[in-house]
Order: sequence, then C-alpha cells, then structure tokens
Amino acid sequence: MFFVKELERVFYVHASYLGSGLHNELTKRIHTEIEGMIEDNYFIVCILEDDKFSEGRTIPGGGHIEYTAYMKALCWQPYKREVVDGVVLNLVESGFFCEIGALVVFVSQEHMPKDMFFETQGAGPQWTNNKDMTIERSSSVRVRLLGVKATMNRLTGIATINEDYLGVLANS
Amino acid sequence: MSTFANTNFEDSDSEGEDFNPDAHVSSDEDAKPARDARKPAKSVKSAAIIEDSDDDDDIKAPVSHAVDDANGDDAKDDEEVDEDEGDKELDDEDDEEEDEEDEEDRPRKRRRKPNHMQFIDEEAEVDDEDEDEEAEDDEIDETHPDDIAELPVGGENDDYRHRELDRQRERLQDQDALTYAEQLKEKYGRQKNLSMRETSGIPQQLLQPSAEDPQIWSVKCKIGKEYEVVNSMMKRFAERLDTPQAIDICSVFARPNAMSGYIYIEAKKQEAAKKISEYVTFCYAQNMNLIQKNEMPDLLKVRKQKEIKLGAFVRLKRPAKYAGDLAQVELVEETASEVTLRIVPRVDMSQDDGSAKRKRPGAAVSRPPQKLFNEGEARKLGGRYIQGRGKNQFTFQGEDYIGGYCIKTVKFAAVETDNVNPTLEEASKFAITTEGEDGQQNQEIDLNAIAASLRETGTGGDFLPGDVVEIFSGEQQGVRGTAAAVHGDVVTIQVAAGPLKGQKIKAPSKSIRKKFEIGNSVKVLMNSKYRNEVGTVLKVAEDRVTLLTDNGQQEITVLSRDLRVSLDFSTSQLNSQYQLRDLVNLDASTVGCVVRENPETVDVLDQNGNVKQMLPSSIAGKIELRRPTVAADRVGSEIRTEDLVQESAGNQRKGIVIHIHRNFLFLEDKLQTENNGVFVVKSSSVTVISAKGGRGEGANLTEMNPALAGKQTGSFGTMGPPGKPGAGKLPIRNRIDGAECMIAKGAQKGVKGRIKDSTNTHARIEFMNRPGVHSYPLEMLKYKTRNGEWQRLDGTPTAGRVPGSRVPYGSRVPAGVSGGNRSAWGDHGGSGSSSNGAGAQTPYWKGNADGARTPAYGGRTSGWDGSRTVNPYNDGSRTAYGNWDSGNRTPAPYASAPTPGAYGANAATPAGLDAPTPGPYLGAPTPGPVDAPTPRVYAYPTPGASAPTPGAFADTPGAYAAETPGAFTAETPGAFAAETPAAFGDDDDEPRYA
Repeated sequence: MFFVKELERVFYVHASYLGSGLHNELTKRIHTEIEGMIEDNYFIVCILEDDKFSEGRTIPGGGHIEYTAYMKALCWQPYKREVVDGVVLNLVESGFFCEIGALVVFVSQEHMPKDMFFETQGAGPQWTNNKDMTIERSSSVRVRLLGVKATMNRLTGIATINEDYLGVLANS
Repeated sequence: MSTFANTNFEDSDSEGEDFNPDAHVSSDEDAKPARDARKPAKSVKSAAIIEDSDDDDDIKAPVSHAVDDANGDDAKDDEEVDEDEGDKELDDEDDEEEDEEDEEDRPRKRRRKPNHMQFIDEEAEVDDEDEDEEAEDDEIDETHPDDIAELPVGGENDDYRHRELDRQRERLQDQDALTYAEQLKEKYGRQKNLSMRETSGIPQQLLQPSAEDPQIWSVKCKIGKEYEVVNSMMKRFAERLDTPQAIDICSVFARPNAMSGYIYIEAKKQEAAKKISEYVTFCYAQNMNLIQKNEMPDLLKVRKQKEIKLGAFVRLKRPAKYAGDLAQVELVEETASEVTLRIVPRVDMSQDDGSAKRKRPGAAVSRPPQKLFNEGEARKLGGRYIQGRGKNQFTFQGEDYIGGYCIKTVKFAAVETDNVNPTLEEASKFAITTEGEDGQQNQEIDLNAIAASLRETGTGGDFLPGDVVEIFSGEQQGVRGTAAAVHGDVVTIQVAAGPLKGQKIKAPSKSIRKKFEIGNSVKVLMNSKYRNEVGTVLKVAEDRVTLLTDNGQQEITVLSRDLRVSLDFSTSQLNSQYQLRDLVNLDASTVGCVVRENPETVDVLDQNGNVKQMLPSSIAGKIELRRPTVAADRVGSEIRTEDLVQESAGNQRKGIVIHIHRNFLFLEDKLQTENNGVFVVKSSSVTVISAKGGRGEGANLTEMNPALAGKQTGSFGTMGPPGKPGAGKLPIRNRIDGAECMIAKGAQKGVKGRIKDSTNTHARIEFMNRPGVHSYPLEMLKYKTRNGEWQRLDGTPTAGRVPGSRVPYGSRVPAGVSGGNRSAWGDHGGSGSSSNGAGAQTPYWKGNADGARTPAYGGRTSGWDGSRTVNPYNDGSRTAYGNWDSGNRTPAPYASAPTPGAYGANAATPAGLDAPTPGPYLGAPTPGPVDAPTPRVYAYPTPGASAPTPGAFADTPGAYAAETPGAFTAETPGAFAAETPAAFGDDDDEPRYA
C-alpha cells in the first residue's frame, strides 16, 4: 500500500558548499540518498517535498554543517494478505520468485493450485497446469502476500497464488 | 399421549420435588390406577411424602377434594373410589373417539393446562394412554371456571377448602425441608460414598505393613526363569489346596526387570515359604531372606512401564556394535520381554569370510559404518553365509536383513527408550522406501514417529516464555496461546483465543508444540542439521514446518521444536573464519569462493566450477586483496569488482563481479539459488554490461568540495591536457606547507629548505643550511611533491627530462637569446646567470603563452639568420636526443628536412622542439588533433614515431620565414610541445591522457 510519509533526515555538508549551491546540494543529497531505500518495512519510492531544511549547525571539530531535512516521501509498504501484481523473475523446482517493485517474493509449490507442476522442457522453465495457467519468466502474476520481511535494504517475502483470481494475469 | 407424558420422572430435582408414580401405583390397588395417577399430579408434593409418610391417605384426600371442589365437583371423599371407577367407565366409552383425536388434541390440552393447574405442579407421571384419556376427561370437567362461578352455595365450602389447602401446603412445606434434605442425601450422599471409595482417603502411611501382616521372603532363582519358578509354585499351591498339605502362603511374585534372579514369597510363616519353594526347578531355596518391613513397599512399587509403541524410535544399548544407534521398533509382543527392532546394519564388509564366524563376541568390537545391507557386497564377502529368504530378505552371519535393514530381536533391557532424541538425519535412514507410480522410489520419513519419540523425551527446556504454543493432545487440545512461564515440564500458557481467552492454564510440555504461522520469520535451533538457518515459514503440518531459507532460498523441513521465531536476518555467526563470498585459497593453484556456511564446514566453489565441502582448517587461507584487481573482458574492456557482466556464450548468465582472480571471475546472481547465486566464469567469456559508477581512484574531492570540481574543469578549457587530480592552482598553500622546497632561481638557487607557512604569494622557508625563516615569493620556489619530483609552485612540472645537469648547455645560452627561451631551460639547467629569468618565466607559464613564447622563437629566429645562437641549440638537441634514446638516428630526418640551412646544419630543431615543451602543457590552445593521439608515441621513446613530427615541422620554417616570427611561434611550439611533457615528464599520468 502506498503512503505519504513525513520523514526527517540529518545531513552533513562540507563547509565548502556553503553558498548559493547549498540548497541544490541538499536537495540532490536527499534524492540520491533516500529514494529507493528501505526503512523499517517500507520502501521509499520518491521524495515529494524536498525543500524544508533546518538551520545549519556547525559540528565542532570538523568542517561539516549539520542540516535536518524535512520531507514528504511516497512510501510503499507491502502488507501481509495484500494482493499485489508482480513479474516473475525466476523459476525453480520448488516454486518461483516474483518481483513486486522492490519486493521479491517466493511462491512455493505449497501455495500454488495442486494441479500445477514444474516443467523444464521446451522454451524455458515454467510452472503450468497445462490448462489456463502457465507461469514462466517475466509473466505477470497476481499474488497474495503471506509474509514480508525487510532486512538489509531488501524486502523479501512469500506469497500464494492458490486462491480465486490469483495467478498469472491474462494479458501477459 | 397426554400432557402427563411430557413430564419427567427422573428430573425430579428440577422442581425440587420428587414423585415416583411407579412406586405409588404399585403400592395401591389395581382398581384405581387412574386416580392414583391423577392424585399425585394434584398432590403438588413429592413422591417422598407419598411413598414414605404414613399419612398417605390424608394427603391424598384433601388434595383430591381441593381439586374436585375447584371444579365444582361435589363428590365426597368416601365416594372417591366409586367416582373414579365411574370415570374409568366413562373413559372407556370415550376411548374410541378420543383415540383418534389424541394426537391433534395434544396442543389443545397443553394450552388448557395452565387453567386448571394453577396450584398444581406439572408433574405427571403417567404414560398409560388410558390414564391419559381419563385425566383429560377430568380436566375438561375441572377446567370450567364458569362452573365455579355458577356455584352459589359453595361459598363457605370454598372457604373451608381453601383454608384446608393452605394448611396442607404449610404442612407440606414443613415436611419439604426434611424431604429435601433427604433427597439431597440420597442424591449426593451416594456420590460421596462413591468418591470415598475411589480416592480411598486413607493415607499411605496407614497402609504400611505392620507386624501383623504377612512377611515376604526373597528366594534366589535362575536369572530369566523367574516367571517359570513362580508358575511352578502356583501350580504346587493349587495342587495342595484343600488337602492336608495345603500351603499357607499369600502370594508369590517376581520382578524380573527390577530384581532379576529373585522371586518373592509372601507368607505368614517361613515354614510355608520353604514348603512351596523346595524342589522347584531353577529355584535355589537354600537362602531365604526376609524382606524388611520398610523395604516391602519399595519392592511392590510399580513403576509405570514405558510403553514401546510400534514404529517408535529407540536407542540400542547392546550389542556394542550398535550401541547408541537409533532403531525403529518393528514388533512388540505384549507379554514378551523382547522387542524386534529395525536397525541400520553395520556389516563389516572388510572381514574375509572365515573370520566372521570365528569372531568372539567378547572381542573388541569394531564398528563398521552404518550402511544398508547390500546383497551383492555380502555375496562378495562370503557367499556361502548368505541365505535368501524371499524378496530382499536375507540371513547373513546369523542376522536377518529385510529390505536392507537388520531386523534384530533384543531384550527390553538392551533398549533405551528415554532421551532418544533422534535427529532428522538419523531418522531419515529409516525412510520408508515406496515405489511410486512412476517407478521412482519415494522416500518417506515417518516424521510422526520422530515427533512422537521427541515428544516423549521433550523437556520444558524447549519452550521459552513468549513462544507461541498450541496444546495438541489432552482435554485442552487446540488451545493456543503464549507460553508465559516454564517450570520444568510444565508450561504455563496465556491463552490467546477461544473461551479460555485471557486465562492462564498449565500444561505438560509433552502435550504442547510450538505454533508457527505461514510467513513467520523463524530460526532453526541447535538440534537440527540446519541450525542457524533463518527463513520464512511456508507450510506448517502439525509438527513439521517447511521454511524458505534466507540464504540460498531453499525449502527445508524441520520439526517445530527446533524452531524459534526470529527477527534476525541470517547473520553468519558461525564458527568459521570464512564467511559467505570470501575468496579463499584452496591450494597453490586453486582458489574458491565460499558459497555456503554449514555448522562445521563451508562449501567452496572453486575456480573450475566445482563445489567442495571443506573444513575451515583445510582451507589454505583467505585471499585479501590489497588493491583493486582488474581484468579484461572478451573485447578488452576492463572489468572490476561490482561490475555487471554477462556471459557471451552458454547460458548468458549475468552477474555482479564479486571477485577477480587471474582470468577467473566469481559472479553473483542473486536470483539463482544454486550455490547461493555464485558462479565462476572466465573473464574472456564475458562482456561488461555496466560498470559500477565512476572509476575514480582515491578520494574524490569534488564531492566534498564543489569549488574543486568547478575550478578543475575550468582550467582544462576546451581541450586541456589533464592535470594531476587536485593539482589545480588554487590551494597551493595547502599542498606545500611542510613540503621540502628549493629556491628555483636567483642567487640562492638550489638552496633547499622546508616551507613553514605560505600565503598566496609568498612562502616562509626554513632553510636547511642556515637558521631562521625567510620569506620568498612563491614563484622563486620549487617544492618536492609526494612522488619525489620537483614542481613549480604554479603547478608546472619540471621533472621528467630534468636536464638540470645540463649546466653546460644552460651556461652556453647566450645572453642575447631572449629570456623566454632561457626561462624554459632555466628550470632544468638552473643557469644562475640568467638575470631576467624569473620575470620571463612567470608570464610564460601563467598562460600568456604568446608573450612568453614569442621571444623563445624570436631567439631561434635569429638563429636562422646565421647567428651563432644556433650552436647552443645544437648541444641542446643532442641533449634532447640523448634523453630519448641515445642510439637514435633521429637527427637524420631533421638534417634531411628541407629546412633552411641554419636549421639543418645546426640541427637545432630538436632544441627548438624541446624548448617550448612546457608551454603547451599549460594549456596553450594547441590544435587538438595533434595533441591527443601523440603522447604515447612520445611517452615511449620510439624514434620512428618521433620522426614524423620533425618532418611536419620541417615544412614550417618556410612558413615561418614568410611570416612574422610572432605568428610562427604562436603555433609551432604548441603543436610539438603539447605531447612532450606527457612524454617526458608525467609518465604516471599517461593512461589518463588516453
């Protein structure tokens, strides 16, 4: 689910930036250092407002100035039981991995319809039931998240397609 | 059925009143059952009264009166019986009609009931249909309030009757307490007796044997024959019973498990014990020991025998060959003291066939490894000892093997049923192999059996407060909650859901298992082979939890007892000094990358693509890279770590370079599960897809300081030659403070010192040869850079050719030659004689190239005139060439060049080339094309390469001659000199130059 979240970050800027380019520098830093990060368990998609800074404060003993930036960020937090669309990255014998933005989830065979099986013959590995559903690399799939874990700037989790309306998307 | 049928005979306590119609009916005359049935209904009070009290009739009479009166029925007490009979007759007549209506009537009757039964309990105990009908008739009569109203004379009667009814009620109430008490007694008293019987409130102390009790003697017997002895004694006892020889004993028993080799005789007298034990086979009655009174209870104490279930796992204590091995119970006989086990055999295949037979059981037992029995191997070993007994069944060396397992019958005593703790690996050897439909062999592990044996031995230690647990057996099965406290084997559970929610209940740890939800992040505890793996729960089936590991993204199945909810990411705090993705030396010629850490070992992917499991101790060491390594891909682009490369053939795998070793690249593709995503390729088989950002080396100051970035690019102009990074002009002071310096000109030239302090224009120098600190303008100084070259403070490299020793040349320079020229040489030669050097130099380097250079060429131009100035160039030229390549024939082309005589004869050109060299380096706007490609040519002193340049130059003089010297000088030096500094001076910069 997407949220707009207010964030606060502290930046240290070298004294040589003090001048007309300071604002640009801070803004640049905000975008490069915060966008795409994973905080607690959400992913920061982009910064919406990036122009509020505290007054600078010199840090004793160093040539740096401390600024606190206040920004609004568009964040995405995947929730357990949330239904999301993703793209299949990789298929293995025990299931497949799919990518939902920054989140990579694993769909185990346990969480697929019982009639699906892993097929390595033909073009590429695929999970199929030889009827209406064939999941191969870069298929679009709709999954329900069963668990999400955010660690070390990675979002991982597991998901299921064993439910009505889940599974490979028709137009993919 | 009438309404009465609905009443409940048994449910007497619900009303607090009892009535037992059967008893009553039976006690009464047969002639008036209907009356009887009715009367109790009216009697309001319990059967106890009716049955037990003597004034039965007294009660009945008033009641019936009361009711009759209420119905306006004037019948007298005495006539009651007659009336009843009459009623009955009427009933009989009505019967036929009523019968059919019976069913439909019931609701109606029910509705009616309240009217006539206002004072009467709805207790009715009749199930006879006839009686019902009759009652119904009565009711119809009785339920006429109008009739009551129509009785004008019944006024005083009414009053009397009412009072009588009240009195009766009072009486009943009085008695009620008594009867109620009685009922209670009857109801609960009985139970009390029952419970007394069950619990036997007598304390154990009182049951201890006293002096009056029979005594117990122990008698030795042959070990293993205890029951036999007991049986023969019992037989003797039975034979002599009722004969004069009857033996007066109480009991004979044996405890073969606890006390093998003894039987026990309980008797009043030792005489009797002797009688029964003498001449019994296997019984050694000579020694008979009296058991002390206080020991008797212990002797008879029954320890609950461990039940050995079929399929359970046990451990063997004997024979020594299998000691400690896990075994599965194959067969248990109810009474026998033996159990048949399935064991993974340890057949010693190294024995030659004869010795197996001769082997003494007492001899030291070698322990061959566990391995399923293989017929072929066994036949090789000793074909004649093997007997086939059907499909996959053999007897070999006295042991039975079925389906590869050893089937062995052992005594209970040789089996350990406590603390079995089978690990999944051990138990997996007992996997049941079944043939699947597809002909493949499926192995199924009986996880339930493992779980069961684990549960048996499970201790509270497995649970920690905070664990989410579930009770899976016992009364509270299905209750879920959080473990709040663990005391030994008792776990206190804070119930999380259900009717018990919020309560704390205690449960034995055996009946509890940890509960995990799909999606939980869990960590495997120490007991399992997957210990320390962290993963996400994919599936929970009772005790078995399937996880997806974070490392390697594999599915593993472990028992829930071995799991704990964890928040960690898989941290590798394993024992090894090697960590995931470390590059290690396997031996002198092999390197590998750690792709997996196991509890004891590490898996290493070597440069040939093989994965080996290795002990950390067998790894030669970790390869620490001191500086970044570079490789070249198949098209020659450089590859560095963290670049993304792709195989150009094969699977076209992509990966991030994690290690470069010689021409092997270890790549990682996080999406691959095999080897944790690490694979190895040859660098020549990949192409770089994307490099990791800039290739900047060292600290990139521009990020820290914007000023640097801006200034530097500015100094380059359109196409400037590269300076050293950070060698811009601004922060000279920062660079030189503390540096060794030398005075570059003037009288003090060559004097060395150290810069103590500096401003933008001046530096304060502490000389080495004299005390004090002196201030000098910066332009008079050179300082020593870190890499040991002397540098002008305005950023000019003076190194490279450093013909500082060319004093002769310098000294030869005629004063007439313009200062510009000399100034260039001044640096090198250090000709102190030049008085105007400094002045000339400065503008020159500072970029007013024209002004500076012009004189330089002006000097030469004069040379062309035939003046003697050329001579110095001549020398200089030699110097220059000497520097390049002593054996160089380069002068020849110069000589042959169609240059004016002055040029050719004096071979001054090189000097001319040399002289202006530094100039272009400073950013003179020399033509790019010449500039860019040449440096390498010059950098490596290839005479051939240098040759064309003079050639090009050779044309110029004509032009020069025609044109003004100024114009000429403006161009030429640039063209040639541009390359030179790079070539001679800054070798280390040359790659950048490219």
